[in-house]
Amino acid sequence: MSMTLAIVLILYFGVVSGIAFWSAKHTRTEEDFIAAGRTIGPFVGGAVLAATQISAGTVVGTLGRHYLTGVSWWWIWFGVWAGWLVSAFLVAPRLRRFGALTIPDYIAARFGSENARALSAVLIVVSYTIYLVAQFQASGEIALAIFGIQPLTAMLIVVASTGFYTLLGGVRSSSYIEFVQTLIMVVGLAVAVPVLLDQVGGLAPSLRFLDSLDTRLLGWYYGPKELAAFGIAFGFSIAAAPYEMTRYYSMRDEKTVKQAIGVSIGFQFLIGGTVLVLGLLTRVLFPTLPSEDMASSIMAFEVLPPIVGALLIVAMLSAIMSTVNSVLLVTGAAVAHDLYGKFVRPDASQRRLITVNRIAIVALAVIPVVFALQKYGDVQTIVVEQGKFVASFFFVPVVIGLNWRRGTAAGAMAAMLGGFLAVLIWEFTGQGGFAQHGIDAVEVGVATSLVLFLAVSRFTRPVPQANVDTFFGPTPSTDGE
Amino acid sequence: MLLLSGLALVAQLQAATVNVQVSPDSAAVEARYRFADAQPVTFVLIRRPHQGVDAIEVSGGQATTQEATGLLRLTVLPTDTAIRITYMVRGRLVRIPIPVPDRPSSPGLPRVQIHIRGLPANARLERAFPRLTAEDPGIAGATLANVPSLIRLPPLSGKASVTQAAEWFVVLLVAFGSTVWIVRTRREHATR
Repeated sequence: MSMTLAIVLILYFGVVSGIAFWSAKHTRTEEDFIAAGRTIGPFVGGAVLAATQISAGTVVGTLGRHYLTGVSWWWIWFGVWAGWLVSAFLVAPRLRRFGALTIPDYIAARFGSENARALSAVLIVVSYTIYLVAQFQASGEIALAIFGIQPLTAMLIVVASTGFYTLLGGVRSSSYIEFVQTLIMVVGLAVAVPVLLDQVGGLAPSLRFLDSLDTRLLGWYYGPKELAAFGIAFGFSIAAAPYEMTRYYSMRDEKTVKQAIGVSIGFQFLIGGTVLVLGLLTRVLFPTLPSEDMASSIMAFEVLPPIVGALLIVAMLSAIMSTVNSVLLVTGAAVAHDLYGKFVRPDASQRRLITVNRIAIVALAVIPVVFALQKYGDVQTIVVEQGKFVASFFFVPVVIGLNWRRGTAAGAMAAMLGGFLAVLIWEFTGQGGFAQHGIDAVEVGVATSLVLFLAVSRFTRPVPQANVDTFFGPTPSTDGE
Repeated sequence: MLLLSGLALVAQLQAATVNVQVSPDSAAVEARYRFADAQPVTFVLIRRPHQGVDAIEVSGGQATTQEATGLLRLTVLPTDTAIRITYMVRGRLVRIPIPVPDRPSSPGLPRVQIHIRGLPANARLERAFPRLTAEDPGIAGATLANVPSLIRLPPLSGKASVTQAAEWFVVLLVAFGSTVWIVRTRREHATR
């Protein structure tokens, strides 16, 4: 297995390097770097959106969560897909038509405020640093389970290799690499299902075993309220996720964006189903693992045949790298484009902006490693917590802001800050937890954000008409909307 | 914050050795475990269709058994940090159940040793679970980091297995996908 794994890894990184160098040759402007020159088509785009969504949180975290808690976690996918549909119909077309490079670009243009841009850029950097913690922690779990190497070493390898192709080609290289990653992941997970079923000896005895092991595994480990809160966290954060929207900008046009979201949901359905089955079957084969986050790596390394196992391990590392890459592109752009380029050096050249972007990417990649080593929770928990923050500060200004003319700059800033602080206070002052209130932080955060947006917008100066017209104005639509 | 406690944060299984003696109509299993302390431990033993498990004996503590659909629970109040469980498996012997303690082992360290005796010379070890390596004629073994719930004995026949089919499928798919990719890229270059 070790030799097979080494060969598959070498082949994979050979392909990745080839794509990265090819992309670097085609990256000359900031638009090329951040939006791939707006050339990505629906199938590659859909695979890229799926790869961005299917992070370590899915392959390591969700599989581990199914391993630990059983089938009920699967319901959160409905929240995920609802988020994608909101994004497809209420967010993506208008954003893509506007043609911004980053989400803070949208915030600044929609609300006519550079302060709102700065606040959104800072919140993006903070919340996505949390997300990277989950990705790096997952890479540490995989490395420890499979290679027996220390998590820090694995994290630094991921930082170095992901930084390499992010720095070289920006969104263009990452888009094509993520397309390959998604295909590997779908094939690896789909092929693993019949192999595991064959090893455990069929589904029926496995289900009987699981039911006796813990009746909640096939029933309701989580109650409807908890699942609703998780679904809201995922759905609302996806509907307004900055790193996914950046990918919309790289696609050809609005129609391509909608098609890509459809393709992405198809990939996610397949991956979500296989991850559920694999989590359960791994529990049958290894009922007591030291950490649920190890379930996917143990399954790949010890149960699957060498080539399939190696492929799946590569897929898991790919998932981590693609998400790290997507997040770094967004946070790097937030620092370089939205903070440095707008506030520090508005006259900076394209070349200088790309250099600052690259320096920011390196710095923002190293910081989460420090937090990941502390291991504050399991991978899926960190992903959910980050989703709560994004949902609470971005859903309202993005989704409501794109569909309600009256929203103002002050309202948007109050919504972002209020939503963020509400989650923070609810989570860290002992108010959180279903046992006490039955109300989750994400519900409090989104509600606070919504109330503040509506209330403050009513009593503050409206956004200049020109800004509103950009998104709602009389400009005739090109796709019949 | 809704933080999960996980399965267990303290690794308490220090080592395990499972010996299986296979004969045509039964398999004798001896499983030895060593824990960090002498706290109560519960083992689960997966139950397979068309298979019986009997003559269960536990040494190193006082044991109680509880039968449930699909599994057997063995709760042991140990007198020592070492526990030994022996039993016979009869009936269909494709998969041999192994008692799995509710305490995990340390992550990343190979602490579970499995030895199977009485295998035919033409057994295809690579198709077993866990993956076995030949130790001596008729004896194969594996070293794992965690205790598996079952051992799938290696088959004898030369028929293609699901595992083998999966490997071939993946290899062919990668070859096919790469070919399509190369052809499409060349065609796009040509049209530009």
